[in-house]
Amino acid sequence: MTNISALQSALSGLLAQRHRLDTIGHNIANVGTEGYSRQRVDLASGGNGPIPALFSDGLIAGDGVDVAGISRLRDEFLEVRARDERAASSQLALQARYFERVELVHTEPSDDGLAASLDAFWSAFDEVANYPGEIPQRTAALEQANATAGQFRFMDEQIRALRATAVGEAETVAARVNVLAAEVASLNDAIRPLVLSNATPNDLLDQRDVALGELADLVGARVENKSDGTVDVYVGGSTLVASARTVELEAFTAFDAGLADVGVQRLGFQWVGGGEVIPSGGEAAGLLVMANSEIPDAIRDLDAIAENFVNGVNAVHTAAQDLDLNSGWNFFEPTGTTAATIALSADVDGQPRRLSAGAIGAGELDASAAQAIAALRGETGGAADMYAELVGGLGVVVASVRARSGAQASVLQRVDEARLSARSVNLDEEMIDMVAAQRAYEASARVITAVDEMMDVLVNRLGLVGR
Amino acid sequence: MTRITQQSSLSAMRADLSGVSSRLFDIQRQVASGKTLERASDAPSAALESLRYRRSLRTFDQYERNLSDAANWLGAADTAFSAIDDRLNRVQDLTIQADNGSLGPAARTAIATELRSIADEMVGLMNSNHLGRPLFAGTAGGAEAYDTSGNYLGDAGVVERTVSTGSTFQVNATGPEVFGVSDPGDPINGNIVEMVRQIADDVDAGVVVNSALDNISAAQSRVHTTQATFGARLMSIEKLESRNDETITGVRSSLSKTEDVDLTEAILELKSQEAAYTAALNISGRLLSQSLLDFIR
Repeated sequence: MTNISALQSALSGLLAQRHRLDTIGHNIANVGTEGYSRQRVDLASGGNGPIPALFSDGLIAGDGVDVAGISRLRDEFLEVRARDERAASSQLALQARYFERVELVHTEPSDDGLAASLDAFWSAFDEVANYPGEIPQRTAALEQANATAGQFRFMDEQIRALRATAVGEAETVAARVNVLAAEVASLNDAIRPLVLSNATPNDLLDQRDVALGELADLVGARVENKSDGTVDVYVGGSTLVASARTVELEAFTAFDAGLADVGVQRLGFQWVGGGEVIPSGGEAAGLLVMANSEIPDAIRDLDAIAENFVNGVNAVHTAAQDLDLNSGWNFFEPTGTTAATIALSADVDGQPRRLSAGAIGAGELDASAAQAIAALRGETGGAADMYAELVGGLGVVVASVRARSGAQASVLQRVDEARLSARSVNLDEEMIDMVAAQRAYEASARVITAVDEMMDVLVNRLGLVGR
Repeated sequence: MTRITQQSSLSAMRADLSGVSSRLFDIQRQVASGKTLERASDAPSAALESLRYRRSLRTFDQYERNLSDAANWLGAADTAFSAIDDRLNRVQDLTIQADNGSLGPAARTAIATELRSIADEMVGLMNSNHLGRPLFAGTAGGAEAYDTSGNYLGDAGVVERTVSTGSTFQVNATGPEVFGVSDPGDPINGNIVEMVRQIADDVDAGVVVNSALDNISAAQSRVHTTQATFGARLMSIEKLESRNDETITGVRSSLSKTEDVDLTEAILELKSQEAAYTAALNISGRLLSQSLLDFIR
């Protein structure tokens, strides 16, 4: 060992400790940065030890310290798991959000929902039965019928508007996916040469992880790591991003026989240029479930009630006679058997005398038909029963989706905590590291001073005996 | 050992605080609105119950209106019956007087005149109406049950009120049922107007009329019988009304139990959630301000 090599070792120590301090500063600066993985300087002792040679004496101390690299400390398995949980969680959260809005359309239990409107309708017919000859009661019954039909139509409109929102949201999701995919592709492009040249693009990798997490939220994207440091991203089994190339995603609507009965088109996702994609999770999958099955079912349920209501009232009404002893009038338009089309028939609209309250052949003030219509209020399996069933069923579904979404959110919370615990910065640790680095730096500096003093002795004081 | 970092502890703290504050918000909303049930999904089975109770309430409210209308019909008919009964008593008196041999022609004419005017009054009473609808015309549509000469203009229709689910209650009696069937060929056996007018004619003509007393008492007994029936119906209506009221009260209290907040319990819960929230904030605040920085140079 020579004095010069000791100086070299001490210098490498100074440089390495400065590197450590730089990294600690970087960590501390990013203590609150989303997606940041803490970094560590990997140190390795330098020098190769004795090399067998003619004059080598085998007593080589080494060449100080080398900075072998800067590594990201994180748990890759937890990162993958977190992406999967995020996909499931955001799908359920979206479904819960939409279900709650469907439930808001049915404002029950209350005194101004459809149940109350139906009851008011039956009561209006009770009043007609009490005063069959009175035009005001008849007009009131027609007005109430208009209001009840209007309530059906309004609820139908609200549910359909919710579906339109889902379609619009699907377009937004596709647009955001494209932006994120482009970001991942450009990061891939930046990362690859760095990885190939053995550099550590840690911060770029973190940025890409954030984008991948959002892609999992949106479309349940799966990620495959490549050896050159790039990632491929898959949606529903086909490629969204491969290295630096992306395929654009878009939402579309198309005719579907299964949805023709409610008069809506099927919502789907496809690659621009063809090929349908079925996202396996994320908001996109939730939107498809809501738009193609749950919301159409909600429309169908309401339609079934409207149909029962219209047909039930018409069956009695057409077989009864009005105030002028005519009969055969429809009360509701017989073709309007959906919640969207239910309406007072042209036969009776604005013609209170045509409201048929009496049995055919009875006196003109006979009210047995009006009583029969009013008695539909208690009909087993009638409109009121069906509606109660709908509200109860919806309540159960909403409660269970909400519970599942809550449970999934807490799973995600756990995974996230574990993930953060592995990757995020602990200030206390950094402080301790900082003190250690500082001390090591000071010690290296002291080594230089010591060598310097030794050299001083050698250079300036040697050979001065007897002077 | 789990590493606790600034981000992981902050994230856990955020989640826990938002959990506590959302529970606090829920209970606050319950106390403020007084309802435990706002949406069906809050408690689906209770919501179904509440839906059923509300439906019963609205139904029973309507039955109550039907019942009070039925009571009004029966009451109006009862008034008419009493008035008719008064007139029949007077006819009976006059008929007995008319057979008194000591009466002069002038007195007989006076009796006949009074009988005729009673017959006219009877037509008016038999046309008694409830809110414009003749009480004794069945389901016929005209404004009157009898014309001035006592001919029945109505039909045999039944007027009913729905008083509870699946059951109706008859509130009318037709003219012929109460006042006798018209018989122009044999007016003394016809309806009461025809009968009284025939007695008046007989009195004018000096014919002995005491044979008509049987007809009069038959007419009276018809009116009495109907009146008694109506009285019994009115009583059942009153019973139904009070039962209906009890049901409404019962359903209201069940509804309130289903969806109203038990204030004592809710406020207690609110207080405990408040305490939990304060504690969580307190602890979080204390932990957040701790750092090694405070202790190293």
